[in-house]
Amino acid sequence: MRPLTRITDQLWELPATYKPGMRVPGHIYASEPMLSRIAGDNCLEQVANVACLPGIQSYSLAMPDIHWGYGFPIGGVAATDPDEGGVISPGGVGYDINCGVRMMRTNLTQGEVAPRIHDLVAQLFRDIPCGLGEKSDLRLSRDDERKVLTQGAHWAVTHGFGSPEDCDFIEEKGCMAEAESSGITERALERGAGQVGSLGSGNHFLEVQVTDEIYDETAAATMGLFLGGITVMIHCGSRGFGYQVCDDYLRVLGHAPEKYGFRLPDRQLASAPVNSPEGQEYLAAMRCAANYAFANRQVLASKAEGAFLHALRISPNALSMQLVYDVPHNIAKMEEHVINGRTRRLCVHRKGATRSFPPNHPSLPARYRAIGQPVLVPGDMGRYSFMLAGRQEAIEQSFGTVCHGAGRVMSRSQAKRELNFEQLRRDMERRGVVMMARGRGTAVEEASAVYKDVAEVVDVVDSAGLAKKVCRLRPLGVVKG
Amino acid sequence: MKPFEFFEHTADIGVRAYGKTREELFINAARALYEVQGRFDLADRRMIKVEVSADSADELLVRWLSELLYRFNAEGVCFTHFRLQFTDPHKLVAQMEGGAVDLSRSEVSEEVKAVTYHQLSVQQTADGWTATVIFDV
Repeated sequence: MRPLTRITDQLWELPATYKPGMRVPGHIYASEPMLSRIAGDNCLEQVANVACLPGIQSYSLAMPDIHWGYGFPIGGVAATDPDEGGVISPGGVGYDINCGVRMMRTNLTQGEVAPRIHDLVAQLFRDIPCGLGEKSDLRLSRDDERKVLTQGAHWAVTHGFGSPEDCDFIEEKGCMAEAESSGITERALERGAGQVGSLGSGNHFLEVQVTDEIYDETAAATMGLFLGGITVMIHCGSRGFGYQVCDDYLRVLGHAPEKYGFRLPDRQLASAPVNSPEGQEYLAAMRCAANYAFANRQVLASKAEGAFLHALRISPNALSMQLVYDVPHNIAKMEEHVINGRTRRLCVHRKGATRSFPPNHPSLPARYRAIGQPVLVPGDMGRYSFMLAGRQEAIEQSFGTVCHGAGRVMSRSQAKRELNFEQLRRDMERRGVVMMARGRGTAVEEASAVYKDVAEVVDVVDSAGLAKKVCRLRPLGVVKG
Repeated sequence: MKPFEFFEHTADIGVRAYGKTREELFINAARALYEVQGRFDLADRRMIKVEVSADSADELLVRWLSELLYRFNAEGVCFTHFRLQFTDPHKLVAQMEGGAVDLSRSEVSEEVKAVTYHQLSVQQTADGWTATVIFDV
């Protein structure tokens, strides 16, 4: 399909001649049926725009959940080489810095939880601050907030949220190094002071799920997952703190292209060389926001555990809730990758894309060395989500990256025109899912019908060899902002 | 002339705002920003004056809306009445009246995370002024 050419059944190329200024071709992972929708969206233009970034290596990549975002497409991946003038772009990370997903497993079974699911979801809805304007019950002093920015999830553990071993099962062990808070504005600190331990709104959620299909018994067992077992999935990020950091640094980096002598087709792609003072300042601040998000998800997980214990009146041993893994999907990281036979340290942007490192990668905790990194791919709140495991082909093809979700097919305004809350509630009941939401409009915009079928999305990355399917998780209860 | 309308954007919310004057355009864009987030009941009344500046005329719209978004998110304040004065093409002074949002009596919708620069434009037309801006939600 023009302008794309087929490389394999799951991979399509957007040639570097598609648009002036492209430095590399685009590589889009998708099945053929997905292409017409992709071509009808503005996201291919965005793949081409990202290909114009100075220092970009190999390809401007797009995952099968690609859709129109701002700056980068959502589902976009770009790796730049600082030694070749490679840039860092806040638009390649997004406003919700280190938005990500974590999953906890439990010893509970569907049979034990299903009869009390209403009580459980009601308790979670009471205990997890969510929705526009709802603050956390934690109000941090500036001193404590700065510790969150440099310590990440470790700050939360120190303050009684979860256990120290949790940090082994968070990307970056729950704390990005070289986070430096001296450039963080008072506005970012003020927005962040009351939001550690809050879910937010939009597509963020907490779900109680059940493992309903297993594709890889060994990997599932290694992750503590079993058929009929209850899990919890949390999707959330760095809240107002991260949004403000991105906004602050877009202003700073807005002048950088002119200063460093390059042109970009979209202002939202504002970038600075990784090795410039502006680039380093943004990276230091972005890492602070990443650590804020790690702390936020750690606190939310601890609150969720408390809600389970309270609602179900069981002991911590009977519940046995343990963190399986926590992955960012809006982030830029310095990582080593091999380009043309030479190992280079690249700045990998993942904007709505998830790291997918293979077995034996040194970044993985010992428990997962044999099976590869757990990769969490949430779907929609009516159908299912997936757990995958990283494979070597991802390192070779996509800088160790796969998709991050289902990807929208219906805009928010179209969803509001075509669906209403009562329809949604009935649909969820029919599917056996208990949903509680603060904002009715927000919930409607997150209905199953607005998303691609995530099964089709993960089948693409599975067939392309970027990650393998481990199990499928079906929602029983949903808390939405 | 309608004050604003929303246009289709796959993941976020696109707004086209209109005004007979640039002042009216900026005020209508502000009303769109609030409308996306809900209908708010205010617990008190307060007036403040703010100055906003930018490097270009269209960036000024982003900075103006971002100022309102910050006050909404960090301080919980929503403004309902505005008097704007452009002191130069890239700078404005706003006198604003509003109040603290009473969440218990408000109908909340979704949180606008940020005002983006993607497809941003502010243009003078034969009928007045038109702006395009996309909110990240």
